[in-house]
Amino acid sequence: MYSMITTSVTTPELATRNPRAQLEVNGQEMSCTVEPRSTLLDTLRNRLDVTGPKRVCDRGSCGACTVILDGDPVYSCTTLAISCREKTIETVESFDTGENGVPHAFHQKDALMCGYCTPGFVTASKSFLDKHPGQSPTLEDVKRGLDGNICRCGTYIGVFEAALAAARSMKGT
Amino acid sequence: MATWPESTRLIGTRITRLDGMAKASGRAKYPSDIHPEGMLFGVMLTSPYANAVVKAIDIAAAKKLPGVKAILVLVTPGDAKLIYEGQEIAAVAAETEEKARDAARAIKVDYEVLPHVVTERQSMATDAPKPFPGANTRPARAVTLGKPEEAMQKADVTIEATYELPVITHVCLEPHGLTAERKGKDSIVAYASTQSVLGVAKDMVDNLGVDASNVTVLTEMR
Repeated sequence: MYSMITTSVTTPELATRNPRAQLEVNGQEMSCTVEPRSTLLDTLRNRLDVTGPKRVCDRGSCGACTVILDGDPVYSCTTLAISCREKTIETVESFDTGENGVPHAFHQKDALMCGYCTPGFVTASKSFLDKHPGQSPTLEDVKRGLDGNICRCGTYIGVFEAALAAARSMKGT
Repeated sequence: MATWPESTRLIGTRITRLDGMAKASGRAKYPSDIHPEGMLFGVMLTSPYANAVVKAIDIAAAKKLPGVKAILVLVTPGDAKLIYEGQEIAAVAAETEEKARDAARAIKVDYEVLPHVVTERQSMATDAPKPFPGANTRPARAVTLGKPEEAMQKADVTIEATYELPVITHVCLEPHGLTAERKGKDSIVAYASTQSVLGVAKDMVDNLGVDASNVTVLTEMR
């Protein structure tokens, strides 16, 4: 379930102005030069060295670039960096890696192979679970919650198991 | 003679993936995640046409754009035949990917666009345009077991049909690319997304004039 972010088209003339953007990434204030056309994904990866989110399709289809923006999962490849000022950006690197965290569940349930889609799935799972605290999602709920992501190794069964396992451990049962 | 052991150490036990946590936590560094200081971004200018001749190419305007470090023209204007959409024409290296894309877009190419075919049937027609020198087909490969013709003649009922399969491509999510870093003049380290580290090393040796002993190719994530 992805939120739409309104984007605007810029001209090459505007692009040369290169404003500086202050972004809050994983609780840290980060600053860099961005062009008005720079996507959040490219800004995170190429300018801020936050490489957890991956660039694959670069057109809002695969979900490997998923980040959590003000609590909502978004495709960072189709979100302009400049539109993220004064918003909270969370990437996979900030998630709890302990036994109750989503990354642990993915590891335990063998929910990955090559791993390139994994940061996106982990992030989408985390966002889904954050939005449904204390609930016991069904397999169908989880499938719907993660329907914005694809995996080409075919790890879906493990991914759904991991999301369900993470829901259980977050609920404390 | 080898016998099955009374108890096995690993078979039947559940072992989690060694790199599982690195990947699931976003900490794994793939070749596309490696950004050495001063890294330039490469962008290819590719053919928008499936069958064309490059008559002229002008990189002067592209070269002047800010942040552009190098442009490599990969075809010889005049006799450069493009035989598929997406065929490489030029490569640009610039300080940012955006600047490299701007420069690739600013390269002026004069094409003579020729008719093209899309399907196998069109390609095999007698009057089909022939982007490939010679012909559009390759010699067929067939494996024959038994006597199919005789069997067909003897059969009570025969059904003939044409069976076709599309091209099958895995389309893995990780892009096939690499990040290469010059370590001084004579050595190079390449972080490559590849199943052939030796092949990449050979490419470096053949194309960049570096000794094989000074080339390191790293593919840590599989």
